[in-house]
Amino acid sequence: MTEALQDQLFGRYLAVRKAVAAHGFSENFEEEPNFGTIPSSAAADLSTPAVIVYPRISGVVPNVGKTFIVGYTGLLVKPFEIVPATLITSKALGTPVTFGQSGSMATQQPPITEDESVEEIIWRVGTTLSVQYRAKLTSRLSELQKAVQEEELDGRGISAKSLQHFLKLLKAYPTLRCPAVSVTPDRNIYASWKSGSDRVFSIHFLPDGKVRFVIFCPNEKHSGETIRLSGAATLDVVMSVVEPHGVLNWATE
Amino acid sequence: MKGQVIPDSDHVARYCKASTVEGGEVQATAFMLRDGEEYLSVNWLEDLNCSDRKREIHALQDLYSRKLSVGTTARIAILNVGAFRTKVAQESPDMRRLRVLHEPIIPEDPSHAGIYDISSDDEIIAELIAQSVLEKHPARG
Repeated sequence: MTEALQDQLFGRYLAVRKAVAAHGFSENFEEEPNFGTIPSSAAADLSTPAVIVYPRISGVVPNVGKTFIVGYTGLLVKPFEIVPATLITSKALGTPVTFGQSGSMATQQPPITEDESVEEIIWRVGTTLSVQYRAKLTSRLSELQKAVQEEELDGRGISAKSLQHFLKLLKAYPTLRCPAVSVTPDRNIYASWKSGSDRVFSIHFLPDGKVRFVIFCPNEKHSGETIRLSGAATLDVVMSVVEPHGVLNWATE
Repeated sequence: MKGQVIPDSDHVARYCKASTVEGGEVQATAFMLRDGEEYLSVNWLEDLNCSDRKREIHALQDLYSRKLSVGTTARIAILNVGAFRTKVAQESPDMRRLRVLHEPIIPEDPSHAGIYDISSDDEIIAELIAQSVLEKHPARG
Protein backbone atom coordinates (compact mmCIF):
# COMPACT_ATOMS: atom_id res chain seq x y z
CA MET A 1 0.00 0.00 0.00
CA THR A 2 1.43 3.38 -0.92
CA GLU A 3 1.87 6.08 1.67
CA ALA A 4 -0.47 8.32 -0.30
CA LEU A 5 -3.15 5.68 -0.31
CA GLN A 6 -2.70 5.05 3.40
CA ASP A 7 -3.03 8.78 4.00
CA GLN A 8 -6.14 8.83 1.90
CA LEU A 9 -7.64 5.92 3.83
CA PHE A 10 -6.75 7.49 7.13
CA GLY A 11 -8.34 10.69 5.96
CA ARG A 12 -11.52 8.84 5.18
CA TYR A 13 -11.34 7.17 8.56
CA LEU A 14 -11.15 10.57 10.23
CA ALA A 15 -14.06 11.75 8.13
CA VAL A 16 -16.13 8.87 9.39
CA ARG A 17 -15.23 9.68 12.99
CA LYS A 18 -16.38 13.22 12.39
CA ALA A 19 -19.57 11.97 10.82
CA VAL A 20 -20.14 9.78 13.88
CA ALA A 21 -19.65 12.77 16.15
CA ALA A 22 -22.01 14.82 14.00
CA HIS A 23 -24.73 12.36 14.87
CA GLY A 24 -24.18 12.83 18.57
CA PHE A 25 -21.92 9.86 19.30
CA SER A 26 -18.51 9.72 20.83
CA GLU A 27 -15.77 9.89 18.27
CA ASN A 28 -14.10 7.10 20.17
CA PHE A 29 -16.79 4.70 19.10
CA GLU A 30 -14.29 1.87 18.71
CA GLU A 31 -13.69 2.02 22.47
CA GLU A 32 -17.31 1.28 23.18
CA PRO A 33 -17.28 -1.88 25.32
CA ASN A 34 -19.91 -3.57 23.22
CA PHE A 35 -18.71 -2.37 19.90
CA GLY A 36 -18.68 -5.27 17.47
CA THR A 37 -15.63 -6.08 15.44
CA ILE A 38 -15.36 -8.70 12.78
CA PRO A 39 -12.43 -10.19 10.97
CA SER A 40 -12.31 -8.95 7.43
CA SER A 41 -10.60 -10.90 4.70
CA ALA A 42 -10.38 -7.69 2.75
CA ALA A 43 -8.52 -6.07 5.63
CA ALA A 44 -5.95 -8.82 5.58
CA ASP A 45 -5.25 -8.00 1.97
CA LEU A 46 -3.63 -4.61 2.01
CA SER A 47 -4.07 -4.33 -1.73
CA THR A 48 -7.81 -4.08 -1.18
CA PRO A 49 -8.32 -0.58 0.14
CA ALA A 50 -12.08 -0.67 -0.52
CA VAL A 51 -12.49 -2.16 2.91
CA ILE A 52 -12.49 1.26 4.49
CA VAL A 53 -16.02 1.90 3.33
CA TYR A 54 -17.36 -1.40 2.31
CA PRO A 55 -21.12 -1.66 1.74
CA ARG A 56 -20.95 -5.37 2.09
CA ILE A 57 -24.63 -6.12 2.09
CA SER A 58 -26.01 -2.93 0.71
CA GLY A 59 -28.81 -3.80 -1.61
CA VAL A 60 -30.33 -6.32 0.73
CA VAL A 61 -32.32 -3.46 2.18
CA PRO A 62 -32.46 -0.37 -0.01
CA ASN A 63 -30.38 2.49 1.35
CA VAL A 64 -28.96 0.37 4.11
CA GLY A 65 -25.32 -0.48 3.98
CA LYS A 66 -22.71 -1.78 6.36
CA THR A 67 -19.64 0.26 6.78
CA PHE A 68 -16.24 -1.04 7.59
CA ILE A 69 -13.60 1.28 8.89
CA VAL A 70 -9.97 0.35 9.05
CA GLY A 71 -7.84 1.93 11.74
CA TYR A 72 -4.10 2.02 11.25
CA THR A 73 -1.58 1.74 14.04
CA GLY A 74 1.78 1.43 12.41
CA LEU A 75 1.43 -1.55 10.13
CA LEU A 76 -1.48 -3.04 12.00
CA VAL A 77 -4.83 -3.05 10.28
CA LYS A 78 -7.82 -3.04 12.56
CA PRO A 79 -11.17 -3.50 10.87
CA PHE A 80 -14.30 -2.20 12.58
CA GLU A 81 -17.86 -2.72 11.63
CA ILE A 82 -20.39 0.02 12.31
CA VAL A 83 -23.57 -1.77 13.10
CA PRO A 84 -26.54 0.01 11.64
CA ALA A 85 -29.64 0.15 13.75
CA THR A 86 -32.31 2.76 13.26
CA LEU A 87 -30.67 4.42 10.40
CA ILE A 88 -29.31 7.80 9.66
CA THR A 89 -27.47 7.96 6.40
CA SER A 90 -24.51 10.13 5.71
CA LYS A 91 -23.04 10.37 2.25
CA ALA A 92 -20.03 12.26 3.52
CA LEU A 93 -17.70 9.68 2.06
CA GLY A 94 -19.50 9.19 -1.20
CA THR A 95 -20.80 5.84 0.02
CA PRO A 96 -23.75 5.61 2.37
CA VAL A 97 -22.52 5.39 5.94
CA THR A 98 -25.00 4.31 8.56
CA PHE A 99 -25.12 4.95 12.25
CA GLY A 100 -27.40 4.07 15.10
CA GLN A 101 -29.61 6.88 16.32
CA SER A 102 -28.78 6.75 19.97
CA GLY A 103 -26.81 4.91 22.61
CA SER A 104 -24.21 2.33 21.75
CA MET A 105 -24.22 1.52 18.07
CA ALA A 106 -23.19 -2.02 18.63
CA THR A 107 -25.94 -2.77 21.07
CA GLN A 108 -28.68 -1.28 18.95
CA GLN A 109 -30.53 -4.25 17.54
CA PRO A 110 -33.92 -3.77 15.99
CA PRO A 111 -36.51 -5.85 17.80
CA ILE A 112 -38.07 -8.77 16.04
CA THR A 113 -41.44 -7.71 14.79
CA GLU A 114 -44.22 -9.83 13.42
CA ASP A 115 -44.27 -8.12 10.06
CA GLU A 116 -40.53 -7.87 9.53
CA SER A 117 -39.62 -8.53 5.92
CA VAL A 118 -37.23 -11.27 4.88
CA GLU A 119 -34.76 -8.65 3.70
CA GLU A 120 -34.82 -6.94 7.11
CA ILE A 121 -34.33 -10.26 8.86
CA ILE A 122 -31.40 -11.16 6.63
CA TRP A 123 -29.85 -7.79 7.25
CA ARG A 124 -30.14 -8.41 10.99
CA VAL A 125 -28.15 -11.65 10.61
CA GLY A 126 -25.15 -9.51 9.77
CA THR A 127 -25.36 -7.73 13.09
CA THR A 128 -26.52 -10.29 15.61
CA LEU A 129 -25.27 -13.78 14.91
CA SER A 130 -21.94 -15.46 15.50
CA VAL A 131 -19.09 -13.46 14.05
CA GLN A 132 -17.66 -16.73 12.76
CA TYR A 133 -20.27 -17.14 10.09
CA ARG A 134 -22.49 -14.06 9.88
CA ALA A 135 -21.12 -12.92 6.52
CA LYS A 136 -21.41 -16.40 5.03
CA LEU A 137 -24.94 -16.85 6.33
CA THR A 138 -26.08 -13.41 5.21
CA SER A 139 -24.79 -14.16 1.75
CA ARG A 140 -26.43 -17.59 1.68
CA LEU A 141 -29.81 -16.31 2.84
CA SER A 142 -29.76 -13.48 0.31
CA GLU A 143 -28.95 -16.01 -2.39
CA LEU A 144 -31.81 -18.25 -1.26
CA GLN A 145 -34.29 -15.39 -1.14
CA LYS A 146 -33.39 -14.40 -4.68
CA ALA A 147 -33.57 -18.00 -5.87
CA VAL A 148 -37.01 -18.59 -4.36
CA GLN A 149 -38.35 -15.34 -5.80
CA GLU A 150 -37.15 -16.43 -9.23
CA GLU A 151 -38.42 -19.98 -8.90
CA GLU A 152 -41.93 -19.22 -7.73
CA LEU A 153 -44.50 -17.81 -10.10
CA ASP A 154 -45.86 -15.37 -7.51
CA GLY A 155 -42.41 -13.86 -6.90
CA ARG A 156 -42.70 -14.33 -3.14
CA GLY A 157 -39.65 -15.46 -1.26
CA ILE A 158 -38.79 -17.39 1.87
CA SER A 159 -41.31 -17.60 4.72
CA ALA A 160 -40.39 -14.73 7.05
CA LYS A 161 -41.71 -16.55 10.10
CA SER A 162 -39.71 -19.66 9.35
CA LEU A 163 -36.59 -17.56 8.89
CA GLN A 164 -37.19 -15.74 12.18
CA HIS A 165 -37.44 -19.06 14.02
CA PHE A 166 -34.25 -20.30 12.40
CA LEU A 167 -32.35 -17.22 13.53
CA LYS A 168 -33.79 -17.46 17.05
CA LEU A 169 -32.30 -20.92 17.33
CA LEU A 170 -28.90 -19.79 16.07
CA LYS A 171 -28.91 -16.90 18.53
CA ALA A 172 -29.85 -19.18 21.41
CA TYR A 173 -27.10 -21.68 20.51
CA PRO A 174 -24.12 -19.60 19.39
CA THR A 175 -21.78 -22.60 19.42
CA LEU A 176 -23.65 -24.25 16.56
CA ARG A 177 -21.67 -24.37 13.34
CA CYS A 178 -23.07 -22.61 10.32
CA PRO A 179 -25.46 -25.17 8.83
CA ALA A 180 -26.17 -25.99 5.22
CA VAL A 181 -29.33 -24.01 4.55
CA SER A 182 -31.92 -24.70 1.89
CA VAL A 183 -35.60 -24.01 1.35
CA THR A 184 -38.44 -26.53 1.39
CA PRO A 185 -41.16 -26.55 -1.28
CA ASP A 186 -43.36 -24.63 1.17
CA ARG A 187 -40.65 -21.93 1.41
CA ASN A 188 -39.53 -22.83 4.90
CA ILE A 189 -35.95 -22.86 6.09
CA TYR A 190 -34.30 -26.26 6.39
CA ALA A 191 -30.96 -26.34 8.18
CA SER A 192 -28.60 -29.31 8.19
CA TRP A 193 -25.50 -30.11 10.16
CA LYS A 194 -23.76 -33.12 8.67
CA SER A 195 -20.55 -35.01 9.11
CA GLY A 196 -20.69 -38.01 6.81
CA SER A 197 -23.76 -40.07 6.02
CA ASP A 198 -24.14 -41.36 9.58
CA ARG A 199 -24.04 -37.99 11.31
CA VAL A 200 -26.96 -35.91 10.15
CA PHE A 201 -28.99 -33.40 12.11
CA SER A 202 -31.57 -31.40 10.20
CA ILE A 203 -34.34 -29.08 11.30
CA HIS A 204 -37.34 -27.95 9.28
CA PHE A 205 -38.52 -24.62 10.71
CA LEU A 206 -42.27 -24.28 10.32
CA PRO A 207 -43.84 -20.81 10.35
CA ASP A 208 -45.88 -21.50 13.49
CA GLY A 209 -42.84 -22.06 15.72
CA LYS A 210 -42.93 -25.82 15.49
CA VAL A 211 -40.09 -27.81 14.02
CA ARG A 212 -39.58 -31.22 12.52
CA PHE A 213 -36.16 -32.77 12.87
CA VAL A 214 -34.16 -35.69 11.52
CA ILE A 215 -31.22 -37.35 13.24
CA PHE A 216 -28.83 -39.97 11.86
CA CYS A 217 -26.18 -40.90 14.40
CA PRO A 218 -23.85 -43.84 15.02
CA ASN A 219 -25.12 -46.61 17.25
CA GLU A 220 -22.44 -46.55 19.94
CA LYS A 221 -23.19 -50.11 21.04
CA HIS A 222 -23.14 -51.67 17.58
CA SER A 223 -20.25 -50.59 15.43
CA GLY A 224 -21.27 -49.80 11.86
CA GLU A 225 -24.95 -49.45 12.73
CA THR A 226 -26.75 -46.13 12.45
CA ILE A 227 -29.68 -44.85 14.47
CA ARG A 228 -32.18 -42.93 12.32
CA LEU A 229 -35.08 -41.07 13.79
CA SER A 230 -37.30 -38.11 13.13
CA GLY A 231 -39.65 -36.13 15.29
CA ALA A 232 -41.60 -32.97 15.89
CA ALA A 233 -41.21 -30.40 18.65
CA THR A 234 -41.43 -26.72 19.34
CA LEU A 235 -38.52 -24.43 18.71
CA ASP A 236 -37.90 -23.74 22.41
CA VAL A 237 -37.37 -27.39 23.34
CA VAL A 238 -35.96 -28.98 20.22
CA MET A 239 -32.33 -28.81 21.27
CA SER A 240 -33.00 -30.41 24.62
CA VAL A 241 -34.85 -33.17 22.78
CA VAL A 242 -32.03 -33.86 20.33
CA GLU A 243 -29.00 -33.32 22.59
CA PRO A 244 -29.11 -36.81 24.15
CA HIS A 245 -28.49 -38.22 20.66
CA GLY A 246 -25.10 -36.53 20.55
CA VAL A 247 -25.86 -34.17 17.68
CA LEU A 248 -23.81 -31.42 19.28
CA ASN A 249 -20.70 -33.56 18.74
CA TRP A 250 -20.76 -32.61 15.08
CA ALA A 251 -23.15 -29.66 14.98
CA THR A 252 -21.04 -27.41 17.18
CA GLU A 253 -17.59 -25.93 16.81
CA MET B 1 -47.36 -46.07 -20.55
CA LYS B 2 -49.03 -44.31 -17.63
CA GLY B 3 -48.69 -46.20 -14.37
CA GLN B 4 -45.96 -48.52 -15.65
CA VAL B 5 -43.55 -49.53 -12.91
CA ILE B 6 -40.04 -48.29 -13.68
CA PRO B 7 -37.58 -51.18 -13.28
CA ASP B 8 -35.01 -51.13 -10.50
CA SER B 9 -32.23 -51.31 -13.06
CA ASP B 10 -33.28 -47.98 -14.59
CA HIS B 11 -32.56 -44.39 -13.57
CA VAL B 12 -34.54 -41.27 -12.86
CA ALA B 13 -33.50 -37.63 -12.79
CA ARG B 14 -34.81 -35.03 -10.37
CA TYR B 15 -34.70 -31.32 -11.13
CA CYS B 16 -33.22 -29.70 -8.01
CA LYS B 17 -34.05 -26.01 -7.70
CA ALA B 18 -31.31 -23.57 -6.81
CA SER B 19 -32.89 -23.10 -3.39
CA THR B 20 -32.29 -26.80 -2.64
CA VAL B 21 -28.62 -26.82 -3.56
CA GLU B 22 -25.75 -25.51 -1.47
CA GLY B 23 -22.20 -25.46 -2.75
CA GLY B 24 -23.19 -27.84 -5.54
CA GLU B 25 -24.52 -30.37 -3.03
CA VAL B 26 -28.13 -31.40 -3.41
CA GLN B 27 -29.94 -31.06 -0.08
CA ALA B 28 -32.83 -33.16 1.22
CA THR B 29 -35.26 -30.33 0.40
CA ALA B 30 -34.88 -31.29 -3.28
CA PHE B 31 -36.80 -34.46 -2.47
CA MET B 32 -39.65 -33.02 -0.45
CA LEU B 33 -43.25 -32.64 -1.56
CA ARG B 34 -45.43 -29.60 -1.30
CA ASP B 35 -48.59 -29.96 0.71
CA GLY B 36 -51.14 -31.66 -1.53
CA GLU B 37 -48.69 -33.12 -4.04
CA GLU B 38 -49.21 -36.79 -4.79
CA TYR B 39 -45.75 -37.76 -5.95
CA LEU B 40 -42.24 -36.46 -6.49
CA SER B 41 -41.74 -35.53 -10.14
CA VAL B 42 -38.80 -37.09 -11.94
CA ASN B 43 -37.83 -38.07 -15.47
CA TRP B 44 -37.19 -41.62 -16.57
CA LEU B 45 -33.79 -41.51 -18.22
CA GLU B 46 -34.05 -44.71 -20.24
CA ASP B 47 -37.34 -43.48 -21.71
CA LEU B 48 -35.49 -40.54 -23.28
CA ASN B 49 -33.87 -43.07 -25.68
CA CYS B 50 -30.55 -41.26 -25.75
CA SER B 51 -27.33 -43.13 -26.49
CA ASP B 52 -25.39 -41.90 -23.49
CA ARG B 53 -25.60 -39.89 -20.27
CA LYS B 54 -24.30 -36.72 -21.88
CA ARG B 55 -27.17 -36.70 -24.36
CA GLU B 56 -29.67 -37.53 -21.62
CA ILE B 57 -28.51 -34.54 -19.61
CA HIS B 58 -28.70 -32.32 -22.66
CA ALA B 59 -32.25 -33.52 -23.36
CA LEU B 60 -33.25 -32.76 -19.76
CA GLN B 61 -31.66 -29.31 -19.85
CA ASP B 62 -33.60 -28.61 -23.00
CA LEU B 63 -36.82 -29.85 -21.41
CA TYR B 64 -36.35 -27.79 -18.24
CA SER B 65 -35.56 -24.64 -20.20
CA ARG B 66 -38.97 -24.93 -21.86
CA LYS B 67 -40.89 -25.66 -18.65
CA LEU B 68 -39.12 -23.83 -15.87
CA SER B 69 -37.16 -20.78 -14.84
CA VAL B 70 -33.88 -22.64 -14.36
CA GLY B 71 -31.55 -21.11 -11.80
CA THR B 72 -27.83 -20.95 -12.50
CA THR B 73 -27.03 -23.20 -9.55
CA ALA B 74 -29.92 -25.62 -10.08
CA ARG B 75 -28.86 -29.23 -10.52
CA ILE B 76 -30.04 -32.48 -12.05
CA ALA B 77 -29.73 -35.34 -9.57
CA ILE B 78 -29.47 -38.84 -11.03
CA LEU B 79 -30.79 -41.76 -9.02
CA ASN B 80 -30.76 -45.47 -9.66
CA VAL B 81 -34.29 -46.67 -8.95
CA GLY B 82 -33.32 -49.93 -7.26
CA ALA B 83 -30.59 -48.34 -5.18
CA PHE B 84 -32.71 -45.60 -3.61
CA ARG B 85 -35.74 -47.83 -3.16
CA THR B 86 -33.60 -50.41 -1.35
CA LYS B 87 -31.90 -47.79 0.81
CA VAL B 88 -35.22 -46.29 1.86
CA ALA B 89 -36.75 -49.71 2.51
CA GLN B 90 -33.78 -50.79 4.64
CA GLU B 91 -33.03 -47.57 6.47
CA SER B 92 -36.30 -45.74 7.03
CA PRO B 93 -37.84 -46.41 10.44
CA ASP B 94 -41.06 -47.67 8.82
CA MET B 95 -39.24 -49.67 6.08
CA ARG B 96 -40.99 -47.63 3.44
CA ARG B 97 -41.52 -49.26 0.04
CA LEU B 98 -41.47 -46.46 -2.51
CA ARG B 99 -42.96 -46.97 -5.97
CA VAL B 100 -41.67 -45.32 -9.10
CA LEU B 101 -44.24 -45.06 -11.87
CA HIS B 102 -44.26 -43.63 -15.36
CA GLU B 103 -46.49 -40.53 -15.55
CA PRO B 104 -46.04 -39.29 -19.12
CA ILE B 105 -47.25 -35.81 -19.95
CA ILE B 106 -48.06 -35.88 -23.65
CA PRO B 107 -46.73 -34.29 -25.73
CA GLU B 108 -44.37 -32.02 -23.79
CA ASP B 109 -42.84 -34.37 -21.23
CA PRO B 110 -43.25 -38.06 -22.20
CA SER B 111 -40.50 -39.33 -19.85
CA HIS B 112 -42.16 -37.77 -16.81
CA ALA B 113 -42.48 -40.13 -13.84
CA GLY B 114 -43.33 -40.04 -10.16
CA ILE B 115 -41.93 -41.37 -6.91
CA TYR B 116 -44.93 -42.41 -4.84
CA ASP B 117 -45.58 -43.07 -1.16
CA ILE B 118 -43.86 -39.98 0.17
CA SER B 119 -45.79 -37.42 2.20
CA SER B 120 -45.10 -33.75 2.67
CA ASP B 121 -43.73 -34.27 6.20
CA ASP B 122 -41.27 -37.02 5.28
CA GLU B 123 -37.98 -35.29 5.98
CA ILE B 124 -36.29 -38.59 6.82
CA ILE B 125 -37.23 -40.11 3.44
CA ALA B 126 -35.95 -36.98 1.71
CA GLU B 127 -32.64 -37.29 3.58
CA LEU B 128 -32.28 -40.93 2.55
CA ILE B 129 -33.02 -40.18 -1.11
CA ALA B 130 -30.52 -37.31 -1.01
CA GLN B 131 -27.90 -39.75 0.20
CA SER B 132 -28.66 -41.98 -2.80
CA VAL B 133 -27.81 -39.42 -5.48
CA LEU B 134 -25.43 -41.01 -7.98
CA GLU B 135 -24.53 -38.01 -10.09
CA LYS B 136 -25.16 -34.27 -10.20
CA HIS B 137 -25.21 -32.17 -13.34
CA PRO B 138 -25.99 -28.53 -14.07
CA ALA B 139 -29.66 -28.07 -14.86
CA ARG B 140 -28.92 -25.15 -17.15
CA GLY B 141 -27.29 -26.01 -20.45
